[in-house]
Amino acid sequence: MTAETLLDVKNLSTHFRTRLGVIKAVDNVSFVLHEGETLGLVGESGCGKSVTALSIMRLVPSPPGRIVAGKIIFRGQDLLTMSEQEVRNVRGRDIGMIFQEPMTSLNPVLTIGRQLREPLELHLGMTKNQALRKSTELLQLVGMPDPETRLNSFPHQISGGQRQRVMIAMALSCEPTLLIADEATSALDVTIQAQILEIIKDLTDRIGTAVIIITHNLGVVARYADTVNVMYAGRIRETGSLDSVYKDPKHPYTVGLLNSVPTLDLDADARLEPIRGEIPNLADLPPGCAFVDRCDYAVQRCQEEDPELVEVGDLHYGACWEHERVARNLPGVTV
Amino acid sequence: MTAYIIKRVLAVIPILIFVGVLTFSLVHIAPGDAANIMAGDYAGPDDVKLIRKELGLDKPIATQFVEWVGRTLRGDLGRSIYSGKSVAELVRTRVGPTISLTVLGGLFAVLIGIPLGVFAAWKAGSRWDRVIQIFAALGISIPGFWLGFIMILAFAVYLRWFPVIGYVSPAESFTGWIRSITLPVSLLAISGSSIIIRMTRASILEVLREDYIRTARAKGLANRAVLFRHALRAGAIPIITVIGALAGGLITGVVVTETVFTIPGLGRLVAETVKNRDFPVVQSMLMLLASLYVFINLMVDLAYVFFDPRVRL
Ligand SMILES: Nc1ncnc2c1ncn2[C@@H]1O[C@H](COP(=O)(O)OP(=O)(O)OP(=O)(O)O)[C@@H](O)[C@H]1O
Ligand SMILES: [Mg+2]
Repeated sequence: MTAETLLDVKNLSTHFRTRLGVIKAVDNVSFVLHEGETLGLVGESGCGKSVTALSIMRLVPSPPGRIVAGKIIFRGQDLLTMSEQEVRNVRGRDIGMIFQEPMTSLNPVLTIGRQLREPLELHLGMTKNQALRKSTELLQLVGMPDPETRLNSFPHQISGGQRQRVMIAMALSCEPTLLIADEATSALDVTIQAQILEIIKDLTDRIGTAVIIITHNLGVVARYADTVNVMYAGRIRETGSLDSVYKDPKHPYTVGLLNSVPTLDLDADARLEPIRGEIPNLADLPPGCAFVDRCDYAVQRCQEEDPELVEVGDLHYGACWEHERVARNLPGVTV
Repeated sequence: MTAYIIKRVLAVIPILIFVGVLTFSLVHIAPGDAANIMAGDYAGPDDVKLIRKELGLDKPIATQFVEWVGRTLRGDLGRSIYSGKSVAELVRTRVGPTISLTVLGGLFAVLIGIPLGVFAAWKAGSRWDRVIQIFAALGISIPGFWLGFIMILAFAVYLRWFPVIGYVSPAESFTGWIRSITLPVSLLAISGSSIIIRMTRASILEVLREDYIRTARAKGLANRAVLFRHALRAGAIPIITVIGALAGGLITGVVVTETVFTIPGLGRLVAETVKNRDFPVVQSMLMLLASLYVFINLMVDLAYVFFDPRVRL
């Protein structure tokens, strides 16, 4: 890959102090994102995807959350050592973020126009009128019908899909180099999901924005991502190019995910198998691999030692002692 | 929206009619006869009868009511049966101190209460938050008259910074005016801001957990914009409600404050005239204050519409 490194997350750990103990929501996570690239971040609910995203934005709710270790090098500068003011200059201008909940992510008492104007006035120094004109253009770009009147609408007056269009317009208004879309479409119905994703792809391609797309939907990742991070219980368990991870998964969890979701090219006779069991308590992880209780490939070693990411192919890494057996698809040799 | 406003304004009319009936009945049902009190201890029954006739108290109660309503609607608020002064005149001479106290007291309560409440919510759990919360708890739980006496003892009697009693109009002496109202205004501001602090803190604390606050911060907005543009506006409704209740409370609270600080305002006028059964004044004053109360509530309702677009239906 010739593109420059945009984001270099190194050994990021974000913990939550709760009554039940310290939750290691993100534990020693490292990954690299190049300019213009799209990274898919997948994993079951509660495995730390949103906390990873919020850590990059430095928006982890604190207390109880705290980034306890690591570096987040964005365009050569560590976001974690920046002052609050410096981080605010990055947020909204260099990194845009779209959240999962379109119904609640816009302020109900401020007009769409007011909310769209804010980053434009703040980061680009536009006057109110310039910002309003730009907002109209942005709404047009995201396919909002009747954009000029919409500027005076309040969020409750438009549909969920339209609100998410507004969120996209807002997140991309300052043409950021990185967009984080955290389950941007999960709450919408399927046809609208596709529309919204196409708009995101179209606009980010045009601007040249790199995207971290967070989703449970492996079909979405297959369609849009260049590289994939598979997260489980706060850690990246497998990472690589889309092709290598999807066609040649080396971690049993990835295999499980791929088997448990209907993909676009699903054979009529293919069986959907959900991964058995549940994700472990993040406050009380076993000493070995966190996936061991749910794994078809587990051996004694998995109970005792936690595997690190190792190279399992060309720019393809997996954290599994038994990755060779996984690759040859030989489950069932349980201890 | 205009339709909503018109509807709300029209709804005031039946309320005012009800208030009128209630006011009139209360005054006339209350024990103690103005004619008796006026005539004094040595008057004979004939004297009392004469006075009753003069005051129109011999007519049937319904007639009295109709006449009172008619006069009130024409703007004639009646006369004191003691001083002979018109109610309008009495109000004019007494309204200055009351306006000074209520307007400034309310204003400071809001100006202190909202920022402190927002700050406490933002720094929830911190030492600042705890200090502000203790202030608010004390301000709410200490009775006004007691705190008033303590303030007089400390700052007027002992330190002699302020006069112990009385009121100086700003026309007479501006510094004298400031000195004469500092303590009562402080008293009203302390108890008022305490309630506003509590409500603001609670409301903002809830709003700060909302997703749209995270969105606002993700845009790179500074804390001030997040707190005052996004959070305070979204959490305004309960705060407005409590300010409205407080404004209503000031109307009654001022009776206590004026009594404690011996300030000749409307509050004391009401207290005195009730004691004397000076019914024309009591009637009109109650009607005035009740109308003011209704008006404040109307303003609160309209403020809801202004601050929360979801109310616009
Ligand atoms: N504010 C918080 N307080 C305590 N724990 C939290 C908090 N936010 C997240 N966590 C914990 O961090 C873990 C990871 O949460 P996160 O939101 O990142 O999951 P996710 O992968 O985004 O899941 P989902 O797909 O449901 O959005 C969860 O187990 C959760 O318990
Ligand atoms: Mg999430």
